[in-house]
Amino acid sequence: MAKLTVTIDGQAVEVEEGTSILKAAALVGVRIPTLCYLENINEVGACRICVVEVEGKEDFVTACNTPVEDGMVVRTNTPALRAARRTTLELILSDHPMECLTCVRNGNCELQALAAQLNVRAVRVSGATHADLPRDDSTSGIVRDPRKCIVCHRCISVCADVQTVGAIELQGQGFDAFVGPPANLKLAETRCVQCGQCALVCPTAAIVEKDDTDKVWTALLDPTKHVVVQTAPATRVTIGDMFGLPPGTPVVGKMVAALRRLGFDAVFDTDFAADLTIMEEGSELIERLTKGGVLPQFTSCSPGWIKFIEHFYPEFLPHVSTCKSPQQMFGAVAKTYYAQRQGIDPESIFVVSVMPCTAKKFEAERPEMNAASRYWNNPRIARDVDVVLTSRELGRMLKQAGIDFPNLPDEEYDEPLGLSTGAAAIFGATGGVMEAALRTAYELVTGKTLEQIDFHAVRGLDGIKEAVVPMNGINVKVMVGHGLRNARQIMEKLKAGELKDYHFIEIMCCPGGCIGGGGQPIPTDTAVRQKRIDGIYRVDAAMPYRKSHENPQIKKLYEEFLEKPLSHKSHALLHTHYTPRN
Amino acid sequence: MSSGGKEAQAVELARFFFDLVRRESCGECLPCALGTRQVGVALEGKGAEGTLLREIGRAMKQSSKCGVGRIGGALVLELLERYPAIFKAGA
Ligand code: SF4
Ligand code: SF4
Ligand code: SF4
Ligand code: SF4
Repeated sequence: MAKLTVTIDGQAVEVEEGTSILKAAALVGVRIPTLCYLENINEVGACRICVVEVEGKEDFVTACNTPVEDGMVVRTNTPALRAARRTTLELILSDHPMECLTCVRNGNCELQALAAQLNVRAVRVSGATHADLPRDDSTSGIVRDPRKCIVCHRCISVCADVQTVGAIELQGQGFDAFVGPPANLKLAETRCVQCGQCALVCPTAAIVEKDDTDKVWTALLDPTKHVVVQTAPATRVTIGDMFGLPPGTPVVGKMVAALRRLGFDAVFDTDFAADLTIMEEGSELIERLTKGGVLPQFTSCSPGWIKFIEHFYPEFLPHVSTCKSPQQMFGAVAKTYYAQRQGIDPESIFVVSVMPCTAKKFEAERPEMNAASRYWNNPRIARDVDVVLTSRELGRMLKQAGIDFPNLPDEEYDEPLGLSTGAAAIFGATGGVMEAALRTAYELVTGKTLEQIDFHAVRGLDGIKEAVVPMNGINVKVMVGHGLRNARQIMEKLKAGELKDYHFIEIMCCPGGCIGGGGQPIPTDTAVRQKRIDGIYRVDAAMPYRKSHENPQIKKLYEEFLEKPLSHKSHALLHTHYTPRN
Repeated sequence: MSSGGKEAQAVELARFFFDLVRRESCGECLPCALGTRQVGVALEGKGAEGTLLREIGRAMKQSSKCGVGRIGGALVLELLERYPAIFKAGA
């Protein structure tokens, strides 16, 4: 590609054709302020904060989406620019409820940060606001507060382009424009999958996770309750972000210690249930392969993906594994096997999950997720999982409790639902469920030991990944997709009959998998995702067991309770059905 | 015609143009969407005046994404230059 030379604030720099002024400026150490810009996702130039002067042009141009031209002379910090940026920001603030002190994004808000950066000391504009737009808390996972929306378009771009759901759009025109579902629908009435990717990118508190921390504080204080907590695979490399640790730092031991200090009666691991998922889902795959079942089989651990296929491709639901997600398997096992083994009244067990995910809140509330109630034939046992906390909510609870997270000692999970393998840890990253399944399926099918257990072909941030693994004369063909745009592409291929010779396909709803889930610490961008992925494979490599079927507690669970994968009991507790939503 | 009459005409014209800009403003960019509304308030004599209004006009003219906001901003600056009184309460 051609090289161009531009001058930015007096410094010449050579860049490739097509480079934006914003990126060229960064190369010479100039960070032009931005607000709506989100690299590769939202480069629409809505906020006009990144305006710069270009010699020879009367009006300003936006640095984020204007490509440099050869010989261009750009100025980024003139009195006129400072005034324009500040006036634009004052206009934005004049229509913003100044509720920082009681706002969930206080201290981690891009609007706040920009006001500080631009040295805004007063908002001189007043007179017209969107203060009467109603809050929307219709979904289980996320809450919208359009009063705090600055119409930056990020959520629209993420929902439409990254997730291909298109649940929220720009409504109305001019000053009256606002962001929300069409026709004044509530979000719960749309095809929103509750992935929370919009909340992850929202610069303000206009879209946030539903806060369930009070329910957990109340349960922890209740002496009649036995409160157990499970931690999702992806959380072990993300909780540290909120305490200033570098993204991707493995913090599993500290997280266990912190949860114990919060007062949980037992600290368990969703990873245990991830190993269980592999046993069930791997066995299901082998059964489909040998008995002529529907193939390719799709993974089912991502509730955002499940809701997506229920809405958009319900005719293909028979392809989806009937296995519940690890979160729900855990809940069912905790209120049956664990209750029985420990002699605890299942009614008194209160299961809290720490998840990377807002869709998990929705999943836990699905009506069919009450296996323990059916098992004990006791309607007073309501849900298998009582409360789902996102990573962000746990971070808030730990701060509120004054827990000095970075300096905690490492502690171990409790028995018996705390033991897990490296295979379970990698569930947190795109490709991880597939790799874990291959590690186990290979050994179950061939009876041989798998020597090379790292499946590099299915790792990493490429949108769609593929591998072929020979097992006993069958070339097992697998595919992995993450982010719903890639999921949709795969579904279109399936529809066109192009995936007939594939056996197993993993889909995770969120880009990068759960390490990039909608409940994860903010910011979560591509660079952060990559660091978390690296972290999770480091966790895997350091585990004493790295294949799910080698987990001694899982073996025990089958011996003492479930008998074998796909047994009658397994089906009742660990498998589920889906709801077409077309 | 008295200058008051001229000014009344100007106010009317300004309101007419601003209504046009407001109706055309799509809401895709913030200086235009928020700025036109503020100028509308100012034209009712209830909002910004003088320096602040000039800054809003400038931001609209120079920073807006398309011609709607840019022309709207230019109009504000022009009016402030010629008939500053029309933005004052009671004008
Ligand atoms: S969204 Fe940001 S600016 Fe708005 S009230 Fe919350 S913290 Fe303050
Ligand atoms: S939660 Fe996901 S599907 Fe729902 S509006 Fe946000 S991005 Fe779209
Ligand atoms: S809801 Fe948030 S992300 Fe969406 S347009 Fe408003 S401020 Fe931007
Ligand atoms: S990919 Fe993970 S975080 Fe995202 S919806 Fe699925 S389970 Fe939740």
